[in-house]
Amino acid sequence: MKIFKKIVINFVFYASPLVLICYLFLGLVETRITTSFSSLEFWACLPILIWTPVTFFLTISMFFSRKLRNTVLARLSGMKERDEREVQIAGNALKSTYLTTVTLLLFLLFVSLFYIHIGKKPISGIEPDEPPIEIGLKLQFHLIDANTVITQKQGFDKYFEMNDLPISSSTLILILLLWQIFSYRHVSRRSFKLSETDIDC
Amino acid sequence: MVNIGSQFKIKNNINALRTQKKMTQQALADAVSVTRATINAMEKGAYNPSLELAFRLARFFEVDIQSIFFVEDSDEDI
Repeated sequence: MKIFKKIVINFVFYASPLVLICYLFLGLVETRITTSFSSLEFWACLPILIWTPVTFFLTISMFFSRKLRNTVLARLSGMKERDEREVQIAGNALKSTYLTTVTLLLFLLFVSLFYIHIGKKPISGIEPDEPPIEIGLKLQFHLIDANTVITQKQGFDKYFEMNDLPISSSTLILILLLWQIFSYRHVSRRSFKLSETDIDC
Repeated sequence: MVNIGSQFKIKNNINALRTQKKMTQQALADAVSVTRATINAMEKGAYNPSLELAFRLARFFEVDIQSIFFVEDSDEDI
């Protein structure tokens, strides 16, 4: 079982660049289901067909096995805890990552909660004592994404408008994941760098 | 006597003791069950070890903890 898990982890890690290339290739050509073994699309699809269920299996297994979770995520984030100093560095890096992630989440929450609009009114529609620029601010919170449509006022020149996050949920998840990994790696690498230089044996 | 109101830095003699024993950083690291980088960080004063590691080092060098680690007072106020 131990060897099997090792093979699965190595396969997921080392095959991922190939899978990415295959995805890019399939994105460039017209994708269609084919039974022809000689076609290039079939051979480009093959790594994806194997990699995707294996990765899914690994992800599900990580929920149940703490050891597997630690192994995979430590490898992904470059986490080393071989002695007390490395444990301390890992703790500091995790603290830094946690705080920057909370900051990022707060920013994203702010962007998704508020609707801000700055627009210039048409000259014909301005009353004598009325300012020509209108600033709109609205708080919006939806428990379920209901594709809310904010009706735009007619005749306004839009200077600035911010309404919900302009990115998809998968992009948001990817950003948060990459942020966590790179933030941790950056902080821990900076701490490790201090002692890795000036080697005296 | 340590003045708590002043900034102080913990220094150590690990490098001197290790050189006396003609050991490499890796050999010392293996002897006290840490990584070579940790020994290097301690020698450079970039890392202060835990009490447990301090005792392990003292036991290994067969000296008191105070012979390895000492406080260097500074006149600068915090």
